Amino acid sequence: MNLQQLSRRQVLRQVSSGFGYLAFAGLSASSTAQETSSQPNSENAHGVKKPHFSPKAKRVIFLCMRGGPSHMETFDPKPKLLADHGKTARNKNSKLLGSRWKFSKHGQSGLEIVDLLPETARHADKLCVLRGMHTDNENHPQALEQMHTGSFQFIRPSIGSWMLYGLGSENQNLPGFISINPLTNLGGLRYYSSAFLPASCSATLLGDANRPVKNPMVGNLINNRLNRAAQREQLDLLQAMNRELLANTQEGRIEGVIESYELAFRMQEALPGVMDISGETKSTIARYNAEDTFGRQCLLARRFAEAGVRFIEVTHTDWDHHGFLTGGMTRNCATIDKPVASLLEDLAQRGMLEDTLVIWGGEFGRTPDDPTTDGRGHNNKGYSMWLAGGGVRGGMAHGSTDEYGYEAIDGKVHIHDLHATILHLMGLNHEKLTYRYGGRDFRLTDVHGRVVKEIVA
Amino acid sequence: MFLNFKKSGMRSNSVNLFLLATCLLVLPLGVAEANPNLAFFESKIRPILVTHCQECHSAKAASEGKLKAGLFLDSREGLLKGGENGPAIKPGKPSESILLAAMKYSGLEMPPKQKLPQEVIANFEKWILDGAFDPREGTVTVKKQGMSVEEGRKFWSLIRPEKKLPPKEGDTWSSNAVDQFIFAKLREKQISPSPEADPLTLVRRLYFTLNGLPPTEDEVHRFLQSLHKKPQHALPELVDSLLASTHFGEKWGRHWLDVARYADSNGRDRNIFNYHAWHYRDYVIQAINTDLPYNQFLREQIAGDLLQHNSPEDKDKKTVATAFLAMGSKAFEESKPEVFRMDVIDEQIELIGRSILGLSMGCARCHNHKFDPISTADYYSLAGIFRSTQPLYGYTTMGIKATAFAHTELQAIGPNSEKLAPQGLAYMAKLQELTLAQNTARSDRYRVVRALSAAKLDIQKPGVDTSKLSSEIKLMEEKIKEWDVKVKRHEAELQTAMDNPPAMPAWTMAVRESQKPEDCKIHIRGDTLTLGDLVPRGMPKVFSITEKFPIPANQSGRLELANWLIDPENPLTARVYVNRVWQHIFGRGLVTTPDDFGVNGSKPSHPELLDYLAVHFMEQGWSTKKLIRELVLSKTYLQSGSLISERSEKAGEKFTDPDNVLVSQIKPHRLEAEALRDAIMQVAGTLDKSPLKPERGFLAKFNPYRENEYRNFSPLFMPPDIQLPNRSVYLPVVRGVLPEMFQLFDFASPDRVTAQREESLVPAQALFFMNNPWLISQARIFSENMLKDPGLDDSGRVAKIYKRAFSRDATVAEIQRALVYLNKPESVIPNPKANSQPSMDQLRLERWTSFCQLVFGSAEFRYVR
Repeated sequence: MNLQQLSRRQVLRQVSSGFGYLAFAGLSASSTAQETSSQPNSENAHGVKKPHFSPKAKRVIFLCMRGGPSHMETFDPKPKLLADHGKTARNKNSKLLGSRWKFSKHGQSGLEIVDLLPETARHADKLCVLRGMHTDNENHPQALEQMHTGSFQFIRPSIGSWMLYGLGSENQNLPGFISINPLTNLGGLRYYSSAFLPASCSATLLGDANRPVKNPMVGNLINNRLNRAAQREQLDLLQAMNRELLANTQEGRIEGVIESYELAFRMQEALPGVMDISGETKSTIARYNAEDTFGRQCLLARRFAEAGVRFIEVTHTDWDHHGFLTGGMTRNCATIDKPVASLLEDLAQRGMLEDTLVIWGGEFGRTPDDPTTDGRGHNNKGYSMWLAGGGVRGGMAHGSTDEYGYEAIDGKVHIHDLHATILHLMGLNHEKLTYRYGGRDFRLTDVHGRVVKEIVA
Repeated sequence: MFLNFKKSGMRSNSVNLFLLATCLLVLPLGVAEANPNLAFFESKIRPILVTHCQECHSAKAASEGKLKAGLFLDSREGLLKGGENGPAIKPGKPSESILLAAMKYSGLEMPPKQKLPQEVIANFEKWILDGAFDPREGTVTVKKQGMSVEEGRKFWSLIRPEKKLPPKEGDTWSSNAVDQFIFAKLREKQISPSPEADPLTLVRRLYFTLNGLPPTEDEVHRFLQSLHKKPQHALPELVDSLLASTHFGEKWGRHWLDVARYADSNGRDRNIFNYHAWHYRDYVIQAINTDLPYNQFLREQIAGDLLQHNSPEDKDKKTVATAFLAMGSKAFEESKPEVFRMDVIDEQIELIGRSILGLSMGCARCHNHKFDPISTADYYSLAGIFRSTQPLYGYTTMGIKATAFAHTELQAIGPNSEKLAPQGLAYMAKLQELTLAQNTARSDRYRVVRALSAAKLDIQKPGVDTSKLSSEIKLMEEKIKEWDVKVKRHEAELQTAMDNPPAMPAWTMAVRESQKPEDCKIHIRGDTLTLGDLVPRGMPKVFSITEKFPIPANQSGRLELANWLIDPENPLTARVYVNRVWQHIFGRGLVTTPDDFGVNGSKPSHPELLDYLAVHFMEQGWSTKKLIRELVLSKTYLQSGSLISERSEKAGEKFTDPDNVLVSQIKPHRLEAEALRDAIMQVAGTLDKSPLKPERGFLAKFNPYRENEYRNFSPLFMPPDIQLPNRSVYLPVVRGVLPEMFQLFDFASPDRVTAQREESLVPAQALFFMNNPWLISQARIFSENMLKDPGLDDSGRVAKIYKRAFSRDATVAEIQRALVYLNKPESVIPNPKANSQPSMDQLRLERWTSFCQLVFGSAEFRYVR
């Protein structure tokens, strides 16, 4: 039997499950990837798929600030809180606590940003601050889970997985959803899992937030034993055996196996290349403060974005300031300020900011008061996040909290609304991006979600 | 107009009662103009309904497709009949009227955009209290979503299966009834079955299907000899010996553990270990090995504690079985006890639905099932059974007050359990108390530490009363020292208690009857605060047998539930089970949605075969082994995976079954994660095939009375290594952190019922075979074992590798090709730390290692034909 006679399409029709093969149909060449696109329930996670409508953004970089950064010390100035500093708060055991830092107006828009973030502030006209964020839960694990999956009660796919499911991956040599420095304890892996979506929509995890390392890696990417030529020799014999079996069985999945080895071999090449920052100039390393874990993550995020990765998540783990707010805010803002600013700058300079949506924020914000005078409690009723690029209006603050910062009162954006908006910017209708599981159609936004049209450029 | 009411089908007594009440109120009032109720309605009620409600709740909305919740507020009947959540109002009873609750934004929030002004709500309250006078006529005809009970009883999967035999004439191929069904369909489509596979393919296939392991060289040899001596009996004898092997339970027990979402840790936010879950795992393996009838198997798992027993061991065994219901992942971070409780119950209902009945019932928690004939009332009548059942999973996370309500006992088992249990339980309660005291002291101390740090900052500010502040600082520093002492004392007390446990019994997860069985109220939209009618405990109404199983008032109803599930007239239980068994053997279920036999599920490809198997299975005493024996000895199973091209070239045959729905061949199937690991280790020579002794397990490293403290969590998030020499079924299943290899090869998610595993094909799997250190180490041991055999030359070694790994002889060409590769020393990357160059022997070993590695990675190893 001459294999050449058996066309790709024929094989495709003849595979029993089709699933594995379909996944690879898109991996090997983008032309075939296009052919298999845009089936609403297609299992193909890798080929590029058509969005529901013309998208503003093509990829997302999510800067996840675990712990719940204080909005009153970053993007939501509260003069009244400062004026009433020390007065008894709503909670009688606590006193109101004004910010120790000043806010200044920046850019043409005059957006107010805390003085702790001078570099980020230079990009004020690119930022769209959502001051009316709110979410359902005030515990870290649940709020983080809801921020990532829309649900804190049930195990649901991550937003990155939905994105990959809806749009596929642009780069056939790299994973489409990468989480750098992911949270792995307190249920963390849930935040990046595909749940009931095809397994290929799961995030590829680089490193582990419990053990921050500067050079996170993908599992089994490196062979320390064989050089490339020797490994190719090994692979050649393996593939010869596989091709024989394919000829004997004409089983489509075996062609899938063969292609997976070739792709893996290419990934060994491509991924370390993307992750190798030795080619970056000294000034870039310095601008990103890339000797530090967080700075390195931001630089890698830019490189992954350039390489066409669909959804990239970066994590800073330490914003849970029940005490030591002063030291914590000073240190953390210093850590994130330069790298985040450099990321925005580089994306803009490369013309990529227009179709890259950058998201900054934590699972909730903090209370205007606390029993101690240098700390703040959890606050899920009102907090700030910001978006930049990817078709959102820059230089604006949308919504507000009350005069102290207890809760969102105007321009309220629930986390479901944010999800709906992110999908919208990516060209996906959050009510139509569904997956049938256990007899019902599931959505990232469940039965909720409103696109915040006011911030769309 | 009252006749209208009756026509529209009033169901509950309470509705009839208020119907009566309405009559009494309305009739004597006479002329409309003189009616103050009418005036009130027209001025205060109707305008609000029109302006704020009827956009979504009216006949007009329904005609525009905008009707929400099936609720009409444009007629009196609509209000009284209500929608998905039951009647909107109960005249005279504002507190039981959902409409009012929704307007008050308690539970439901209506209208959704903005809460109505307080005085409007007060008017509605008064109106309902006064009997809810409403002159509006009109009948409600709602197009019902989903299926009615009557329609449901006509749905294929809810009709009792019947055993029909297909006509046998003209069928010279079949050897048993299974074949006849398969052959009849093939003949209909003019497709011929494939020829029988060769003996080597068959022996390998059977070993993997029945025992999850490849045959050893000796086992292959013995089979070929037996085939030579007694061709007619060799296969049945082989099947019988594989069914009798303890490895059968290890393979098929794991299939059940997939649907039972077995796990050795809780998962989710607090991933504490289920230290005692392994009793249940071993119970399942043993039950499969002893061929415990499936009906009895289910009965024990759902109501084992309520069954007769004939010895203390038998009692323990049946208690362990009920861990099935307690095994689910729980949200221990949940701080509301009622929400926590209903979430646990929901998980149990989903479990019963998807694992046994092939129905997803979770939807009915919040609204009548959109597709299947399962109502919210059905859901909460099952919920009542589980509300009357106490799950026993043990202490959760010690030392946190807010969620201490979630702690439960465990069930003591084994010798002396009755004597030892009380002191054991008291000990765990004491540990909790001491841990709480310690944590409280720690956080009290920490609060002062924080205040101190703030004060130290403040003192640097201009204009502060430094002398006052510095004396406060001094005071706080002293306080911290005091707290240091207290904290140390609490820590020491806890430590002492931990180090000195009393004699403890063995424990198991389990369930038991709660002290006072109770029915459950409908939770409107699943909300624990918005309660509707009380529904009696029971099973879904769509099953005609349900009325045969009344639940005694003083019992939970679990026993009745179990008996109902295994009743021969239950149309689903046997069907769902035989379908899963079929799927594990043939790679594709007769129903391809093994956990959904409902409207959204797929229809069976061979309905008569499915029914035959279900009835036959019950007739054969629900014996899993007999069922499997019949399936693997069918000619259908013995077919080869014949070539599509050859078949299509056959004259007159149009090959039109790419998905192999009709089973005209046996397609290669991928080894699942456990079989892959076990096969690699057996071939390499590193597998210990004996069952794991509990004291050697991963969990034995931990002290179950010590590790659950909140702050000690992090080690529990480490995935267990896969170095354990035993079979994969004995590796602990830690939710959320499965071993890398299991994750890569689509191990069943232990978070939920898995009736069918994924079959992904991703580059990360290829990377595993190319670069994984564990795999390479197995390959090295394999090649060492080959090289040290002095009786073999290199061709003999290659031949032996093929035999071991692929259960077949290598061809001359294959040996030649391998030798060309193996004759070169490996070009390994030099180790910069090594003092000397590797020897030629070492490089030879490395080359053979590379070869053995690629054998493991080959499609022939990863797929069974």
